[in-house]
Amino acid sequence: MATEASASASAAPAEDDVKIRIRNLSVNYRDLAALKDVSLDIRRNDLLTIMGPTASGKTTLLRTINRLNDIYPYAKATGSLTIDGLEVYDPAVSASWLRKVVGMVFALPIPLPMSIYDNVAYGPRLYGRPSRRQLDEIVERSLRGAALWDEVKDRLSDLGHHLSGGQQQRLCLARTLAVEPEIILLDEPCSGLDPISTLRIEELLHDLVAKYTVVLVTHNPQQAARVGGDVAVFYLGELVEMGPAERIFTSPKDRRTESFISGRIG
Amino acid sequence: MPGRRRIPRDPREKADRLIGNILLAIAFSAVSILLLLTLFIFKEGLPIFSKIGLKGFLLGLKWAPGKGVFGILPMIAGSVYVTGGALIMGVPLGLACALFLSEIAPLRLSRVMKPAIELLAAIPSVVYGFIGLVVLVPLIRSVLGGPGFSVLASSVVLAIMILPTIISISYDAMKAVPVSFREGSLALGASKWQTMIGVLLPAARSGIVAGVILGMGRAVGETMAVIMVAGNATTVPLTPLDPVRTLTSNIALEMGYAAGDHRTALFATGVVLFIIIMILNVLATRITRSRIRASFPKPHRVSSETASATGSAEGGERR
Repeated sequence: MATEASASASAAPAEDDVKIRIRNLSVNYRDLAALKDVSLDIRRNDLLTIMGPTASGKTTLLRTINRLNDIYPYAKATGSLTIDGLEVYDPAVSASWLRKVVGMVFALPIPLPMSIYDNVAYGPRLYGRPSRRQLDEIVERSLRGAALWDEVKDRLSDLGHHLSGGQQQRLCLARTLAVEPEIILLDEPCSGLDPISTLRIEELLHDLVAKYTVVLVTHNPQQAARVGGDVAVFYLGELVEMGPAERIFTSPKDRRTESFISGRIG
Repeated sequence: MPGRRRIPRDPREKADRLIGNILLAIAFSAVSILLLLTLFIFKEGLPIFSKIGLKGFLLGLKWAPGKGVFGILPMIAGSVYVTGGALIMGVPLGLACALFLSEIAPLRLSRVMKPAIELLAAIPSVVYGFIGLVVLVPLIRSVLGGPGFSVLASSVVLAIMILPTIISISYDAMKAVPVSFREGSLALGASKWQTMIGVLLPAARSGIVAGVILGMGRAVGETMAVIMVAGNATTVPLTPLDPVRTLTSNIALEMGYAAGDHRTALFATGVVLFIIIMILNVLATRITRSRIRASFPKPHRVSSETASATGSAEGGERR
């Protein structure tokens, strides 16, 4: 699936193939330039892996896509970022509305301080008063989507943070799925997990691509290689290069990419 | 075979032991003062119970020391009403203020406002009483009627006095909620307000409750300011505009000239007060402790990109 999608990457993607279009995007935290003039396209129902060492601007890019950086008054974004052609930083666009469309899973799996059920039901409850039946259905569907249902179906009233780390991360994914986003951002979702939990999350990614546009951030080249799809390499706030995973890992065009995947920087 | 190595002596160990013992003695003397104080109050106060009975004392409606009648129900009711009134006004106001400072106000503003609010706690209570006396009492008298010296006046003064406690401790509790809880909620599309109600307040609940209980303890124990605006009549108040006497006022007003059974009855009033305050304190410590035990998940890792994103919660003064 991933190889198929990337085969056509060389040609410029058709206009309505693009879900997220980023042009000349720069983000500054006071004097610190976190992203420098980044331009890239993310295709609908595709998986893009953003890879780079720490402080390369990966997380900033994600937090710019769903405007979570709005909570830092000193974070300033310039340039253009559109989703389906809609300028995200248009003042008329509500950040809360945007974040329903653009779900996010964080590096540290931190369930909200409530039960497993309520963690998943929290999102849908923000948008009206679903009935108990509807909620039950959403919770089950979301937990199944995150491959967690079978493990927790008998203990839905347990506190979310009583689950294991890997389960907590899948719970965080489930609560994101529950609000039916179009895009899912994953910010190093496996950085705190053991290899087996990591594998489960990585397997899930491929299921997600069928329904969502997925952006994965990782500082781990092996993970990017395992996951496949398109890879964008970031270094110190710059987009170094972007292309299908096989190409990036076998014949990187930029010296910095080569240094990063061979472990010399990072 | 080489000789077994001898245990080396370290002379500093001796000094450590000595200093440890000295500190123990000092610490113990502080605790023993509390112990002696308790013993003394109980020894002086308990005889009244054998004389007029626990029920007669606690549930007696009439307080007439001249006739040997000692019923403190009016004072118990007075303390409860006045404290309850203070909480009804003080808690919503304090919580709203803490929410504003912690979640909405720009960091610069809350850095100025929080110490200013804590300064309120440093103003002597007689000053609050005085302002209540010259401003609040006449205002209530002219606008709402009655003598002005009333449950309402005392409650308003106390509500203001417990604000710093409630604000400061609730604020600290809110700031202790990991940023990742807020982000988790916001990332699902929750508004700021939904995040406050749905995640922040539940997560900070135990700290907030502890703050309210400590504020309650302050309100129950406050004497001077209440004496000046309460009217101090020894009857159970029927409306918020009636004058009222609290347990603490009762002791402060009469101890100067009391003797014999009267004096014992005042000490017994102190015993009742002591027990109420103890219960409140135990509750507060329990709740605060359970908050620590429930231990939040590790706070959001601060990456170089988001470092110094939120102001660290300055440790507020706790009483």
